[in-house]
Amino acid sequence: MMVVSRPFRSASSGAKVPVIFLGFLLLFQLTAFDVFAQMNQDTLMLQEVEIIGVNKKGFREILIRAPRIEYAPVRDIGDFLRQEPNVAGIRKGGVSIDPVVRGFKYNQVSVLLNNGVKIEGGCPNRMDPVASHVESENIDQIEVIKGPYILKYGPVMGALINLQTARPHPWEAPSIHGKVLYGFESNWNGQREHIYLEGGNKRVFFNAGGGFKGYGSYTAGNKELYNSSFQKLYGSAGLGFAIGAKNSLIVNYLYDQGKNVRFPALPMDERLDQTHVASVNFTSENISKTWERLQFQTYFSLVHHVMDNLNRASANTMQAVTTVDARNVGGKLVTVHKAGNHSILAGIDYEDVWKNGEKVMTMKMIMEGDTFISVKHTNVWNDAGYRNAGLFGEYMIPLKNTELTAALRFDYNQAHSQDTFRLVKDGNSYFDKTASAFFNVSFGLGARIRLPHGFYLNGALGLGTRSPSLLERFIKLMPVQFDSYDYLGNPQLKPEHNWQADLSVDWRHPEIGVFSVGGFFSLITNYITGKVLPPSVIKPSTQGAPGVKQFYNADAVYLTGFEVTWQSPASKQWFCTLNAAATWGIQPDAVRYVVSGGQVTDQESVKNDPLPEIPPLEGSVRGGYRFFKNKLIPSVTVRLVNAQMKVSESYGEQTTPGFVTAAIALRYSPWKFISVTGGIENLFDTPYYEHLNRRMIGSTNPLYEPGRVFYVNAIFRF
Amino acid sequence: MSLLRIHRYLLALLVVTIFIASCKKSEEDPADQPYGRITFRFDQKIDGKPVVKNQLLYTNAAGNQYLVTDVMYFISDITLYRNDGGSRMIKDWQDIFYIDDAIPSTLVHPFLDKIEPGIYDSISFIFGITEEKNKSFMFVNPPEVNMAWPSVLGGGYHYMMINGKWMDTTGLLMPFNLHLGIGQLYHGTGYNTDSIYAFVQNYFKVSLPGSSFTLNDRDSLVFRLAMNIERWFEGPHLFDFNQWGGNIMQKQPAMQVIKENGADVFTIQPVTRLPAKN
Repeated sequence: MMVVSRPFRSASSGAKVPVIFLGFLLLFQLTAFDVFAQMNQDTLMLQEVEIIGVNKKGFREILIRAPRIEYAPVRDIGDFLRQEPNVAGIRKGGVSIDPVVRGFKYNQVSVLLNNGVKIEGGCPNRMDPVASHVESENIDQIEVIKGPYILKYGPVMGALINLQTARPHPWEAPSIHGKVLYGFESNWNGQREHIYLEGGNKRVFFNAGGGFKGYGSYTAGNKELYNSSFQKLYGSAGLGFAIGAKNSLIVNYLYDQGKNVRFPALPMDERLDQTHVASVNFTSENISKTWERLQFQTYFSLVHHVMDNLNRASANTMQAVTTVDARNVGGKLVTVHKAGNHSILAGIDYEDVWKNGEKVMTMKMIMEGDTFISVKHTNVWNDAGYRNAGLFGEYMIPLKNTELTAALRFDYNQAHSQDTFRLVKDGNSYFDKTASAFFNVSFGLGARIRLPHGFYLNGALGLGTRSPSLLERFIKLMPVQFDSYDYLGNPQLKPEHNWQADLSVDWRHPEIGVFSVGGFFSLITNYITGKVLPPSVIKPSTQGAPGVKQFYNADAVYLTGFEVTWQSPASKQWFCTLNAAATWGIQPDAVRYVVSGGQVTDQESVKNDPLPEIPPLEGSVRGGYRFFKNKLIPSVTVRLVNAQMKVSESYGEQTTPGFVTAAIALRYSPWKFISVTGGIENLFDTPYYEHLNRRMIGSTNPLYEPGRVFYVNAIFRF
Repeated sequence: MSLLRIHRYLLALLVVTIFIASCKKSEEDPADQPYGRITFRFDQKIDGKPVVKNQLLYTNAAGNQYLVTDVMYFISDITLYRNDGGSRMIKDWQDIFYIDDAIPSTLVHPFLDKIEPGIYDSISFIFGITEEKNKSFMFVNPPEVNMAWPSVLGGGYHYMMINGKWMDTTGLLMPFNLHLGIGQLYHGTGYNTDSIYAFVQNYFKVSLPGSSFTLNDRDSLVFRLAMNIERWFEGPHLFDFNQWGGNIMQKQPAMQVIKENGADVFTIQPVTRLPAKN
């Protein structure tokens, strides 16, 4: 079931309800804070969503459609997704925020385009997470599925984010339509310009678009200026053909470029990031009475990434430039059959990922009156790659009052690298044999039971298995995690497994709205994390890195959490959404290093250490009213975030104070073809930072969020 | 079941139990093994007293009046020699140690290594860094990165920087950079880097006299090491700034003198035994 916010015909009985909601919110806040303060001062979170709930397969899902994205001042998809319950993001600069879903992060979250197109980011520091290669203006729909349950798009461990870009589609009558968007944000003098065209007829259809984003540095609520400027240039084009009544062929191309993207919380800035994505999709539908669909997709994505420290003080002693090229080529074949109520989906997919990168360090020394320059070339990846072949199936059957879904997936994953680097010391092999192969099994089971009086009970159980990423396997001495250590890959890592269970209850009432409460529990085995290697074995190669950590498979860890959502009935003129969500993560056996005078002098065992980078309990409430048949819509959003006091001792993680922020917006759409939205974000110029924001490089000072921002978005359609 | 059968089963069970028990014994937890810990504290002295920097108080054996502004150096591969012939290198965490007179945290090095208790005859270390380990760009952070030695001059890092001034024969205070690192051999008489034809590793081993000690279980011993700066300029060779000038990093013969004088620069002071700690 999905919950949808829609305009409403009648305004009756609306006046009392906001008061009730605010009362509910207050009561919930007080109760939750009290309870969770005892549970270690975690947070309560209420958030804003467009469509949220549990889909008919029993899996928790967030669905965001284009209009919601268009009207908001969106600089970056990862930034935008942070508004959703239990979705957070790792901020390192003004843009390219890396999504974290229910505490799952990095490659534990599968981010893909158009149901299967994958991009391998180039940057080892994740300056370019997958979502940053696609601009929000190109997005038609975002789907976030929590848990390892949807297996038809590739291996999924913790969550799936499926970004649907605008694709060409047939038109009943020959026509051309378009859209022009202009957005401006104060504070960092940000401008967005976007133009989009689409059209065609029943047989041939197309779309094309492009745009530019340019942002300066922002000032936070603490009145400090953060070097967060960036420039983005992008374009896309698609061409489709209807072949007969049942078949379609669509070819898509997308280009995205980031230039001079500053990351004050990383040791380098992005000088250039160029992405090319091309895909071909063939779909045949209603082939026979039982054969519903045949789909073939193939894609190619290429990323060229250059970063350096030339704008940093560290460049005075040592300049570093890293260049990485990454490629992902793949495809899949899917067939869907129906027999009565039974629905069977089966398919195969293949992915070939390749990565190559080099770091050049230049040291300038002036000694005894002479200038000397030393240069060192090292590879961060050396012709590294993996191939993943998958076989998957999904079976759905509706029984009386119950929808049942079962999914199964097998993967064969084979990795390789041309590394000549070897690290074997005193009989210990740290980085030696580079080839590995794994056979992985994943499964998902979901059930949605319709109960009397508008209640639904949803349950899901699954195992998500992911093979280690190229970064975890082969990276050489780059600070790729939040703790500033240089990381060394481990070619012999084993796949990580997530055994997860979800349970939730929904209640739908035409006059009260939709209330949904659910929780999850994840047991992660072969958990991939880092452990410190002694400097006598290997030393860091990045300025500011206190040492080197190597990825390894730790013992099991677990994550648990909940989400509570209430959305007002879609039939009202007023609207309100209320969310609360939290995640807790525990590593039962962790190791803490005792540092004295800058040196590790001992190590201690830490029991039940909180996992690092887990966002605190938080919540949001968003409300508004639709005046004059939706022509004028004012809205208010309040976000409450508790302090994060449960921090990882073994990682030396710091606590984060709680905060409250507010935003207001006013949308005016006098005619169908024009819409103007203005608003203020961080209304009270609150100085705050998210727990997942990285620390400023070379210090323990946090990277604050932007202060007050006035914005305006104008959209013209034709 | 007959008594004989029961007896056999019991016997088998007993054998298995003994086997398991014996296996457990062999897997003794390393944390239970006896060990001690060692810390090095470093002092810089001239004529037996702590260095007073930036004051023209000192005269070396060649008669040069001088002052010292900076003292920075590396030692590595600290080795403890047992009286039974065995030895143990300090390397569980670090094996290269940086000492900087201006940075107090570098003057104390508590070693992570758990040292086997026993009687030890002596301690030695490498002054500088061995050829195998002294690689350019292995240190990227201050202060160690500031010890970089140009690749064209051999690469790696300075073993030592002692900076200061000496009074030349005309009475002028001239700056000196007593820098030791990888030396170069040049064709001809100049120091053009294009004429370098070979490099010379100038690190050397220092065996500390009077460094025997006894380590008991859970002991924590602190050794005080002193660099006696005046000894760089004497025995077996006199080092005269007026002869070699202030800069020596491209003068291998001068670095050879310093290297050969360096064998007895370090002395070790009596051990401090800290309270036992688990």
